[in-house]
Amino acid sequence: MKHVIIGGSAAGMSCAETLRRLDPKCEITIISDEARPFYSRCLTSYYIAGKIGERDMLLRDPGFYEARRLDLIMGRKAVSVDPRKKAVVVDDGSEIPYDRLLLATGGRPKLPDIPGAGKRGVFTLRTWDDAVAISERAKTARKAVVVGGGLIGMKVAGALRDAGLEVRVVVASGRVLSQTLDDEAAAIARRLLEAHGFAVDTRCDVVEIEGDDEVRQVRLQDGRRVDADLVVIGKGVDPEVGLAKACGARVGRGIIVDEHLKTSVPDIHAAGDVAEAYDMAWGEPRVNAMWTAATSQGQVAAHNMAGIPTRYPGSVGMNSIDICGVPFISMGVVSPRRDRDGNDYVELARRRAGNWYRKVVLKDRVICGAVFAGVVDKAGVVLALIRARARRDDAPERILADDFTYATFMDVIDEKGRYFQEGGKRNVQRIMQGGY
Amino acid sequence: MKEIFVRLARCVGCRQCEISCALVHSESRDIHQAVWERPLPRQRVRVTREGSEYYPLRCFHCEDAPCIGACISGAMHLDEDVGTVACDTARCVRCWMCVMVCPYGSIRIHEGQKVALKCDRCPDEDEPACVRGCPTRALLVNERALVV
Repeated sequence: MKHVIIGGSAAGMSCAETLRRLDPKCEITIISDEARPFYSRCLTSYYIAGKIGERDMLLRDPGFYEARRLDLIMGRKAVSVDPRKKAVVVDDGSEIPYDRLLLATGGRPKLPDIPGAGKRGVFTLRTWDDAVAISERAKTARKAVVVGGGLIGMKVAGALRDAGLEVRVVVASGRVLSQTLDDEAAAIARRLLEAHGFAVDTRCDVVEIEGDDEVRQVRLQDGRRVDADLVVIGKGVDPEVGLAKACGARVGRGIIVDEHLKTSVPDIHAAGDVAEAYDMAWGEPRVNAMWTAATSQGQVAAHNMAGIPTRYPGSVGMNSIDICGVPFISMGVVSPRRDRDGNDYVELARRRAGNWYRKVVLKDRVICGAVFAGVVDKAGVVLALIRARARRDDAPERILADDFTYATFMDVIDEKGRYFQEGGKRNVQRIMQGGY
Repeated sequence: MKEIFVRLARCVGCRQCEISCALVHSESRDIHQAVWERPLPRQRVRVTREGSEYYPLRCFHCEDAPCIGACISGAMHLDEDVGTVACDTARCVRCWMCVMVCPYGSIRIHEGQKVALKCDRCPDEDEPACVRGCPTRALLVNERALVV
């Protein structure tokens, strides 16, 4: 059996490793358009901040690919897929045949149409190479403008501040982290940012990037001009669906996959930031571009590619971010609107002194989302509850009162939770029955 | 492979396991000195009461650990020699993805050091400290094959 994987990050690599474990004999080729072995994309902002070095970016030891007989083609782009011939064409003209193909092509930063965005000193952040370029520039730059207040924007803003720059964040919506946090948590985040010396403009946009060859200042929507010698644009990520579209796969926002992570084209699977797979909290397919979802989708895709039918239970969109030393975690439905059938979600929230905030979101009395600020311990228990889609009427109050542990919800999590795979189930039995 | 098991019926909620755990992870390993250490030594096991029962909760060292899949820095890893889920705190970047996904709530933030805090099953001890400290033998360590 010959497996080809396009994309060498979280989804591609976890697929490759799982395939090798399941089938010691199969051939595995990974095509990556980055000239780097497997590294952690999520660490790029830490790299810019100077908190970690080259070695810590890499997630596998040298010799890893050889030891597992993974044929890695680095720095090459797959330009097309021929599903009839079952072959991938690479940009050096070579053709790589496959029996099963995984599209793990990830995403690409959105580039809004800002005049002057091509000037030197203007960046997006997705790859390690992007991070290297930004940190190089940050060595001499003094004033940075970050366009966009999403996760990437926040992480890069924090990193540039750590690197000693003055940082202004320009956010189009009314709050920072508008996709990740609700109003209250976002307000806490904003207060923290401002207290730590960040300038934050909401309901504002950069309309032009000015300077000769290099960025000198940016012009804001309200007419102000602010000095900047480094600009990072973080306006979100689009799934890289070009290859999939061109070979006839069904594409929505991402590549549409079934419960086995198969695309609409035979023998082609998709996983990671490019896949539009089932979301358990929303109850519909969504693109959840997260490291943890990419890893588990890669594993599930590998099983199916190896001929072991395995259902993907779905993911819950979630994120964890540290703002000025204060942890925030959000999961599932965070800022609900009326659903398609016109039913309302119920939101219950509690605020305590300091930066402590917590919210749970319910639909049909079942928890489908949560926000934590300040204290995030045990957030994973709530995630397990969301995944279990179990109704426990005491759950919202106990979560908001911080009066719960795994033991509180053990029965429903275990009974209905599809979270646990075999290992997990045994773990639970172990504590319940308590040995001999 | 050895694992820690819990006989729930024997747990009386004395929290001696918590003290033993914090102590074995302290600098001095002496209870009279450890209480003065800053940051205060922290326990990785927590006894919680639910209804009339006590549950000593700690990391189960899952076979298919969500925290390893979620870890963005490679700090959380499977120690294949001893079969534990181990955290290389030097590589921890404090993103708390592991806290976000652990269904048992068994990974916490070390308030002092600001790193992910979890059971390491006492790699340098003959017997895990919580097991050694348990006066009712509710906690015990044994080969998995003999128990499950």
